[in-house]
Amino acid sequence: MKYIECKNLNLHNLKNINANIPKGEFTVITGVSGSGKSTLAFDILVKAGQTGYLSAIGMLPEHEVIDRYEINGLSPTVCVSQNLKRQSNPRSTVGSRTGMLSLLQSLFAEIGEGNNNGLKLSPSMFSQNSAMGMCYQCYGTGFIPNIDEKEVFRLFIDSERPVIEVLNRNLRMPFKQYCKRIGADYMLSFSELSNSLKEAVIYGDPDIYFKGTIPYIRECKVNSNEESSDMINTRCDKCSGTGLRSDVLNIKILGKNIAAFKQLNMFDLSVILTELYEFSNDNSIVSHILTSLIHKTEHLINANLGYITLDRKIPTLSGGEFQRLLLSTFFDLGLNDMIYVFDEPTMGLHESEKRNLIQKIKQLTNKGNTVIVVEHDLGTIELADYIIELGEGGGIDGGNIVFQGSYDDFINSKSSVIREAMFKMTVAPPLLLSNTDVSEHIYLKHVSVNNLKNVSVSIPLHKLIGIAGVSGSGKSSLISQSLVPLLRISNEDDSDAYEYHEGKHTNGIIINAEKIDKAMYVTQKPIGRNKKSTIATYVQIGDSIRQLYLNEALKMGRKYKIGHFSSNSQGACEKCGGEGAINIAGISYICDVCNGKKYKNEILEVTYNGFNIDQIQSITVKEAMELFKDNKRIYNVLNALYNLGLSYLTLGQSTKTISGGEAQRLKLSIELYIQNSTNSLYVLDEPSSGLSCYDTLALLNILHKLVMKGNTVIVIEHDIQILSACNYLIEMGPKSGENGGEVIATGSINEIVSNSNSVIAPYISQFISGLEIPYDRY
Amino acid sequence: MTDIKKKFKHFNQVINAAYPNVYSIMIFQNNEKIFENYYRNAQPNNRRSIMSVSKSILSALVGIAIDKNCIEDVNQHILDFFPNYLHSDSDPNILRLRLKHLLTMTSGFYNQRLAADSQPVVKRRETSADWLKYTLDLPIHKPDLKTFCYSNFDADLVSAIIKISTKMELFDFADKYLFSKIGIQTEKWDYKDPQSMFAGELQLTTDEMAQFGLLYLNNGSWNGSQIIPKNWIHESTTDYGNGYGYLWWLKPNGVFMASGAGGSMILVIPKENIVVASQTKHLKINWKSPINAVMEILLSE
Repeated sequence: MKYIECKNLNLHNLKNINANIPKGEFTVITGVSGSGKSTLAFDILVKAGQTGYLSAIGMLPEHEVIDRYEINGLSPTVCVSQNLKRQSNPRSTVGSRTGMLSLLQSLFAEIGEGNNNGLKLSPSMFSQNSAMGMCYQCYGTGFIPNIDEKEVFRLFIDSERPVIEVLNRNLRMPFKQYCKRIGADYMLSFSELSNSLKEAVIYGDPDIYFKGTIPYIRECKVNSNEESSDMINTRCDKCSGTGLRSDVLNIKILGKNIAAFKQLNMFDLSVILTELYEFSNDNSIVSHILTSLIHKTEHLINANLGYITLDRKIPTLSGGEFQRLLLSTFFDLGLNDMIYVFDEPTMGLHESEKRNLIQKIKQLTNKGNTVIVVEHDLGTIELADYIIELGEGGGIDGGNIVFQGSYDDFINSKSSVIREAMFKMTVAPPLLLSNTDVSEHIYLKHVSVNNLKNVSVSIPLHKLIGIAGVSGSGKSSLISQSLVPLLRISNEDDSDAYEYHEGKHTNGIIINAEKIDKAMYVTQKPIGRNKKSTIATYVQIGDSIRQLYLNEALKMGRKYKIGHFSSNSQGACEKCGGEGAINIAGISYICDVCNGKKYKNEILEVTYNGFNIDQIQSITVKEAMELFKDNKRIYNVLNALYNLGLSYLTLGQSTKTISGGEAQRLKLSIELYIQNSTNSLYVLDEPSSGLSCYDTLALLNILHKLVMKGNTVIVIEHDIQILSACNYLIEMGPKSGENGGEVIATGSINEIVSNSNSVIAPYISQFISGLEIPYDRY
Repeated sequence: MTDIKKKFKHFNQVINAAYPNVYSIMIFQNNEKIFENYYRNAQPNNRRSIMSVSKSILSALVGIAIDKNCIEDVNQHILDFFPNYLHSDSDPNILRLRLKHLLTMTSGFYNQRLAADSQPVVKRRETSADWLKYTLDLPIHKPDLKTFCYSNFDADLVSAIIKISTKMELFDFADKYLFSKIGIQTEKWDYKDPQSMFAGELQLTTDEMAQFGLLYLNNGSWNGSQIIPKNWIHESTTDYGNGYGYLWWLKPNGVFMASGAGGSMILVIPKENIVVASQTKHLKINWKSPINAVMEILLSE
């Protein structure tokens, strides 16, 4: 068998490891959080595969520096990771990304009917992103700002009455005076006015003063404080929000214009395309276009994306949906001997959907491709031809290969941490609440955002609540796009705590919103854009630590201030200004005065328990707990990080370098131990993503603690382990898109398990009863 | 070989080797021709399209039209020249547009400029029935009327305004009041649109281009008669905030330039009494304006 052979890898926390990945097979790289999975898969394999290919075809900029490792047997590498989505153009849609939109545009140019204006049709006339096709009122966006200048203008140009009668009452007298001053007749209609006067009526004249209608309206709007309705852009009336020039909207295929085609889901689209194909001439361009389109719809349906429409914006897709979208495009490529690397493709999928998807991914190997998946999902591991596990722990405790081999060997492995956890895994029991009878509820009524069908639901407070349902069933629409914004509106909270979904307007009614103090949407978004933000400063123990050093300095008789122990302040090395490095002609050198330590040398003479302020930055949370055990505040915060499974982070580690899952847990630890919240509502969207079953238990632990303090936690989840640990479940369904959008079951775990409407029930009962064989839980 | 001859030889080598687009270079100093050379088999009597250099000639014609009282001044509303245009679907901001906005490329008319020559707005206009109406119907994308956006459409409207305000065909007006006065012997300046409103390409010899530059260097005066008002020469080569006058590009030290695609140009350096003219070929890629070679080799001390 041929292998991709990697030798002596030592990037990040990897400890000089050798990895062999069989070519043409399906390999899963797993391991606990922070163990180095992503480093191996993305930072080394993907980077080496891509840079090697790019330099071979001469596309790599010369200044690109490549970390060179000894890797044999590489092929061109395609990376399918979550953050590709963030790089997408905000205008990018499913249609443009898959190439289906341009095919559809060509189809309309070829066989569109109703072209009565004698236009010479071309595909770009059907694209709102091209100036050939865009609506000139909204520039292709479909929306226009709320002050519609044209509407004001039409008021005058469409009227034959004297302008002074059309003007707002408050402008009539000023207009009369203005006309007298410039010697004009004020009783003329708009079309009889000179161009200067026309301009003054609409826009005003700042020289010979007259305010003008638009400045007047703008002033009224600013003073009226009706920000809620006026701040929102309105749908462009000229193109009905399609962004397309109005004349091409009359061009139709089977009675539908291109905008209507873009709103069809894949199931409906494939029916129409097949019908068209049956009537097309075999060898025509049209039949070629139709064949490609039909193939692409089939691939999307096979990737569990049948509910999706072509006009769906890429940034609104979940990470899992986006990867499956890319996956669907690979089957059209016809390339072989490629390497495909996926980052947790099952994320966001219902248990019933996972196996289908993994088998689809596995099919890529049939064409001779090598498939590598970074994954925690046990069902995926079971299907792997080859497994590489990194461990044993995260950060400095990780970076070793603890297992590599087949699934059969994996099951019998003594060294695998994940296998160990699979068998030991226990359900965190749902919390027993003493006063369940008197529990309070928030009521959401008549919500119809996206596919929601006039949903009304009650949400119990002070509990851990799971929102279940297949992908696209309306979970996020109910919580992220309805509950959270409604709470925000009714509690008049305009803080930044909500990283809530943008774009969609919510509707519906909320009752009892005042029963909670604040609501917070806890995402996996990275924290700390500031490059100087560290773990210690983020969890707010930086100042406490500096105070300890100041105390030591004062004992030594030094007249320091607290700023002397900050590399951003008085303590900074004078040469490099606390950067640790100096920049000469664009190249960074380690500062020769502080040797990269960022502080003045005299500051480093002050020690606490034998460590100076620079050395403190490189110790782990675990080590720091011992060091600061006498300071209760610092210790408690560190202990929280430890309990969350973050013991391997170092105090001075930049917050930019931590993963999404780690960021989420850091945010929660702040709420729990620093904000000390007792009556808040937290919403977590798929918190299990990126977490191994080992880390998931740590997360559940902190969620339970938050609930015990009186908070309410809502998790939007597919993960059975987390759902089984909830006090209360709300299940959306029954299916996705148009066939979803209803609440199909609510209640405690026991109530859900015995509810025949529930789709998730069989999986939960199987999980609870069959923990000994968790890898067989589909 | 004298120093000056060495310099010329070196310059010609550079042009031959590194400027595949250049056909000719001609330089006047103190109204005397000090350099003239042709490359790639070009001949002195070849007329070639001067591309956007013609915009600066339109600028001169506006100055003449104002002088002849055909146009009030640059603050005149452009709608004054298109009296029947305004309709219910117009962008009302067009009421605010003055001639000076067109001359300074700040009309704000929507103009999506993509890489190279791919300009869908141009293509869309070419498929429309009435180019003038299409141009005036464009939405005003930058209604602050200060944003510089170099656009042929603004210059097109200027040429239509010259035709409408003078009630003469563009070539006839240009020939009567400008070309015939300074020895430009071209016999046509066609329109490019079906309605004959927008100036098409103008073909001149290198010498004719240089003559136009000399007219500007001499403040609009030619053999004792004032062809273009002196104040217009000054006003149209003043910077209005974007390194651009009235259809003239402006450079430091009072230098101004008419410039066209492919590198064709008329460069006027008033302080040194120099005019440089160059004919070029519009290569789609790999073309360079010869201005740097001229400045660094020929006109360096």
